[in-house]
Amino acid sequence: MRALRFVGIRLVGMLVVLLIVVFCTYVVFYLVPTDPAQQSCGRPCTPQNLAIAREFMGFDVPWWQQFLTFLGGIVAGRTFGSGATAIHCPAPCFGYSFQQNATVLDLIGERIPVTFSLALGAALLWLVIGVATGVLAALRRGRPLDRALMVASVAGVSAPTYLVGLLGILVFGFTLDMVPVNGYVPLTESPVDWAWHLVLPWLVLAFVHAATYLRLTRSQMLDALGEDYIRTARAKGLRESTVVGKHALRNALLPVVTLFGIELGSLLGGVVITERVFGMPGLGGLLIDAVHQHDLPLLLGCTLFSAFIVVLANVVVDLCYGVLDPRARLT
Amino acid sequence: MSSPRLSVENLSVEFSTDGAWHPAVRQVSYQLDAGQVLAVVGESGSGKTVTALSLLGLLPATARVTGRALLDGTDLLGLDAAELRAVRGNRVGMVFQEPMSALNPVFTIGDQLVEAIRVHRDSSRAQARQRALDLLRLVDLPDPEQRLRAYPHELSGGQLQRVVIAMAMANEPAVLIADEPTTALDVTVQAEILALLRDLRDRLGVAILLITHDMGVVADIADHVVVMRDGRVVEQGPVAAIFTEAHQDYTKQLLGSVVSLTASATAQPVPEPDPGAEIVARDGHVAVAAHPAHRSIPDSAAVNPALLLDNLSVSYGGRFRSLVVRAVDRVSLHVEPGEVLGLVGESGSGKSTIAAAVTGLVTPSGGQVQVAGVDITRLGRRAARTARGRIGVVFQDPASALNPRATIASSVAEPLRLHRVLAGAALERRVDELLDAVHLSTSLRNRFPHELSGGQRQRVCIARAVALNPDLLIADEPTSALDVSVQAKILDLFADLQRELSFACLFISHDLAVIQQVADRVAVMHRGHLVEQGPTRAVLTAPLHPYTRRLLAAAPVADLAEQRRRRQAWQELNAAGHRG
Amino acid sequence: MRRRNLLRGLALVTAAASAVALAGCNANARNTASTQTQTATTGGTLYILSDAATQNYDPAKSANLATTSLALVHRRLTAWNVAPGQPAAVVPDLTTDTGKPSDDGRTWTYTLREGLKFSDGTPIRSQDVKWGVERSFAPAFTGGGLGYHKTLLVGGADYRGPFEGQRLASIETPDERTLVFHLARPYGDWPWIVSTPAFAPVPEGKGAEADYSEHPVASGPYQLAEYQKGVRAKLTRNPNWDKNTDSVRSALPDEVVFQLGQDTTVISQRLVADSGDDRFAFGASFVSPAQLAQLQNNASAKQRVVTSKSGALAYLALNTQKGPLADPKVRQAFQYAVDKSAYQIASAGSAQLAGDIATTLITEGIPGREQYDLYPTQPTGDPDRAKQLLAEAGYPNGLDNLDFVVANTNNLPEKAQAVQASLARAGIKTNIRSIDRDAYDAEVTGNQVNYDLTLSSWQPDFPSANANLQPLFASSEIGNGGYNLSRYRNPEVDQLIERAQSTVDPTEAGRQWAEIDKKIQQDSPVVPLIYTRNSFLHGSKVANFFIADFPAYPNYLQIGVTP
Repeated sequence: MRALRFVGIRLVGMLVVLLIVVFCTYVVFYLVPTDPAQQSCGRPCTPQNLAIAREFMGFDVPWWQQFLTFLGGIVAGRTFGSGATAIHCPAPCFGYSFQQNATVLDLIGERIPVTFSLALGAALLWLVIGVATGVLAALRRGRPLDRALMVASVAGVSAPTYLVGLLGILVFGFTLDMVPVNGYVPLTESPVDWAWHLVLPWLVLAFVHAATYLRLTRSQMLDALGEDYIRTARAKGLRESTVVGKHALRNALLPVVTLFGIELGSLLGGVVITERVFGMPGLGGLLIDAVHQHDLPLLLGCTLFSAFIVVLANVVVDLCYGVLDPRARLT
Repeated sequence: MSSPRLSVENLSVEFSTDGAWHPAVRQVSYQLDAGQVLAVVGESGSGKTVTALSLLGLLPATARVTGRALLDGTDLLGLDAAELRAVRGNRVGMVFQEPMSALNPVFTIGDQLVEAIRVHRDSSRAQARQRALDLLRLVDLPDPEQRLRAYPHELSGGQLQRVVIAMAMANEPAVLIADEPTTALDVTVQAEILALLRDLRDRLGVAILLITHDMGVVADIADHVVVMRDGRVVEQGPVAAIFTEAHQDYTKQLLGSVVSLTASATAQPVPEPDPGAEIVARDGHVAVAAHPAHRSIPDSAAVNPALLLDNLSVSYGGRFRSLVVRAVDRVSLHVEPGEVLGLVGESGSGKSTIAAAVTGLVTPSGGQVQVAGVDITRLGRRAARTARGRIGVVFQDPASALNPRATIASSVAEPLRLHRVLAGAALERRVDELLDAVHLSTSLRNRFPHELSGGQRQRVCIARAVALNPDLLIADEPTSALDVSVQAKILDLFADLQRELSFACLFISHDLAVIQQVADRVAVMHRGHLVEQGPTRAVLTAPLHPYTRRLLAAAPVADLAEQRRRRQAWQELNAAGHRG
Repeated sequence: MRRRNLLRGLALVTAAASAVALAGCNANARNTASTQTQTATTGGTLYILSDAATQNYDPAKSANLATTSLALVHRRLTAWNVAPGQPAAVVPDLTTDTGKPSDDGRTWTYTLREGLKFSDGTPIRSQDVKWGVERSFAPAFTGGGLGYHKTLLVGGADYRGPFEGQRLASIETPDERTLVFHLARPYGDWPWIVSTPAFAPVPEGKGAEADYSEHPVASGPYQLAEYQKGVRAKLTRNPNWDKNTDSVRSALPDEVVFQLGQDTTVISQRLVADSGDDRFAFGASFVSPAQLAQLQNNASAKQRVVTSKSGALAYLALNTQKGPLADPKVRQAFQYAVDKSAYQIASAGSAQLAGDIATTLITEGIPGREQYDLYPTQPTGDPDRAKQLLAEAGYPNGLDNLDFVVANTNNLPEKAQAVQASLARAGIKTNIRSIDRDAYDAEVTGNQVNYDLTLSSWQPDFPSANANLQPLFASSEIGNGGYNLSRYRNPEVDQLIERAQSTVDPTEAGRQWAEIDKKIQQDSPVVPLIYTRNSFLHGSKVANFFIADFPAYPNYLQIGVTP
């Protein structure tokens, strides 16, 4: 019962956060001095043309009214224009992109597999690499291996993804000609090609992110190894591998899991730079296009989706935390 | 008696820092027989813990150990890693100081017990689980089956220490090393744990190496005593000899500096309360009749109190309709100018919450906190700040109470600057005066906290607390983190300052001996209620409330005969409790 | 002013100005050129790498040039004949000629060629062209297309498209091959107007759906076989296109594949690497000056850079309605004060990379353009002359506190600093205010303005001086989203513009436009700076890759690949 109520409270909280996000996006968009209808006005942009575009897209009413219409569309769907040229956006309608001629939901749906493939694969990779090297560094604290890993991690933390991506393309794509550098093949089409095209972006993302995990795992591991219960475990006569692998790691991983969940959540909302560099049609690219084209409906949809994923990731992290750490459990 | 169970011979330990070797233990030798408790006594830094850890190879890699440690004839120091693992938790069990952190928070009690059993025994999970249950019964943990499924945070400190002892006993060790096993526990729990250890020694014949700083504990349980100082054994012998005819000055000093509770418990009969009366009273001495109490006693008449709490309540929790915990429940008390009120209670009794409410760290959920007649809970932010400027505070841990990046002088000057009392040369002069008042050399002005000893740091805290000539001083366990000899000096200093500056003081402590030394009146807290209050002497010699009696009986004193009497009283009280 | 696709919009190329290009050491030799080491053959697949995520093949919503992607799929009534070294010319596309004017240029009659077919095999009729034009008036399809015809056709101002039942009476289709357009006023550039995307045929009655762009009925040599947003657009041959009816498209490759949503830096990197399919590819976006500098070390890649000879006009606009700048003499002082060579350095590092110094308002490659210089001086300017003019105008101590607004994109703040420094030599003190692109657009095209000076650039939508001058200097283009940034208002010029627009004879019209050009410059509302250059990079197997004098983009219709 308590767990159910907890989930219920979290869901309501999520809805409130998402509402605030929509609201803020609307307000922010209306604070910038650009008319979204201007994009659909054509050239020369006569006042008549502008008025027609505005009316058709529903930008001719005050922003708060648009906001309410948007909320209504989620429940009931929306129709733009009338007659033969009417555009219908079925419920739940999160808006319609006039520039891409599709509902925002469809656009996001098309791109989810790309971003998810990219983010999940990379995340798994960097988690494994980061945690493994972090544990290794902690166990070899102060020795050459630890120092080398720490230096490498500084490079990883400070290197911009864009630069690492370009270098990766140059070295592994063009110079060594080992992996494809561009494009995305759906998993359903060819699992091998799918993975093959993703290898380099995965590695690039993993390199950039694993460094953080290395550092975090290392410091958490050092903290954990200094805890009294580790001494207790040793005093029990446990093998060092059990002491480290079971008693220390399990505790050291708690903050790592939190960071991982939240980072993965924000990545699932769009891996902007990596998608761009590797020509992958993911959510990040969609967001960038929306911003550049002043495509308010799409921008709103992307923002909302990212917010949804991030909030969801937070809930999942909270629940996972309860599983991993009994102290955080609801009793 | 045959050869000793454990024989430590010429054991030395050195630590390497930056390539140089620093000795921590020098040429220590002692012997421990089966069925005996050997107490290793010393203040912090004496090397008593390092010695014990070195026996099982639990010191960090920077340590170098020489000498011999024979366990039933086998030299522990000569074992390789695998052989050592076979000894750890098997032939030698270990119990640590902090039961709260000694167990892994993410595994159940059962998992950790089973692990300890199975690492040395070829038994199935079910068998190991059965054994774990037996062990929990052995250490008198109620509801053992439920406890097996519990996580460490779901148990109290005393229960956890029982689990740790059970774990140490899992494989019927020949030697149990207990490193300050009761220091982190409340006195009543301490008494229970000591009784358990005594029981294990007697029933299973295990040899116990007890490391402690508390001469009261020594008096309570030890058969033999080893006194250590600066890594050396300065004196050792049977416990009676140490207590009655210590040869070494250091041992005498150690015994002498113990702030000891001289009042004997349960000396006087308790008047039978009138049936139905909620309050018992005798002269100026009042207590709640019921145990456990459901209410607090009313305050005695105040004349012109420096601090007055009127029906103060503090609640925690309550979000999402979760359980509301009343940490303090309608407590009324007062402190007159120049008076020291000792507030006594165990952890969780609410005594520190009262300090927090007075200093503004928590917001009361009801009642008043009057300082010099003004209710500070109703003041605006600015006015409350000014009012709190008249309150000095000293906390338990001087290390964390001082900003590590501020010099001593600037820490002491902080309240003066904050309340814009003094500046420039006048400020500097005042700081020197204050340092002088707490017997610190003014040459320490520009030192940083980490360059000072614990006692010196606490003196700095006290100087800071009295910097504004407060009307009221809140001292929250100011000596608990200090060694006994330091503790005594700080208490002396405190008494001097109090006489000199004649501030009112709310002195909070779990230690009845400390309270006895400093307090004019004593108030006893139990589970959020004020259960007893009266003149110090009356409360400590003729307690009215059953809880106060338990508290008094449980506090060990560094006197063999007296401690024996107390133990007796404790057992009687417990037996009475069980009967009732 | 933000354009979703660089290929789609050419008119206001402020954004393009910095992405302009160079020609390297041997720039002059290759400026006008293509790299025709090999000749293109029929067949193969041409790849086009684009940074845009989407491609629009709906003619109603398109602002595409007549020589780029949309023209591979859709033919219009007329087309552009462009070649290096000669001005762009209007030529028939679907029609037999470029239009017969009557009624002083108020009525234009076109005859479709015989045997034209849509990709679905149905004949292309005059009614289909009319339907396509009408469709561009529908509110659902106003999205971003070129709409010069909308105010010119009689009744166009109030027309809301054919889907609500009304037809546009000013377009007559007496038979299946004849089209008659009735204009509200005489308009000599109508043959250019009918080369805009809206004059591509759409089968009558079709195209009501919003995503017509993703499955258009083709009239050109290619049809859209596959379209994935953000991924690719694949064009395959239209079997019903007859080469004999089409003089402007050589349609060499069998397939054209657009790879969409690519990072520009990665595009350059891939084209430099020149491996696999990338050998048959070219980049649709400009090669930036930074990328060009890198290419200098790569002989192979350097060979494959093509740079335009000319391009958009970059200019300094002077707000003719504000303070001392209202005085033409003061404005003329600016013509001497500005150091144009410093501007070249600031925009691309060298004069070669940036583009030639401009003295006229009509850009190069436009028919009728006359080269002249009303304010001759050396490239670095003549501060003394400027001071003298200012003194004559009553400002012997120069000017103070002029507000100089620029967008904070495309290196514009740095360029503004170069201009600021040169103005300071003549005692003209300015305060640069660099603001966000959106805020900038809103301010300079709005009705209330505070700025004195601003930097911008412009390239015409169609190759007529009309498209150079009218949008920038007609008083009707002040505010309300118009691009008359110098707020220039001269009734005489307005009259002359209208007269030139009404002149049907292109030669006579050209002469008039050249005169207007000088006339405007006498008032000095802007200081022409340079004609900016665009550079493109292509793979080693791409042939027939050239950039004409206008537009400063490769002609997609002629590009082919070698095996």
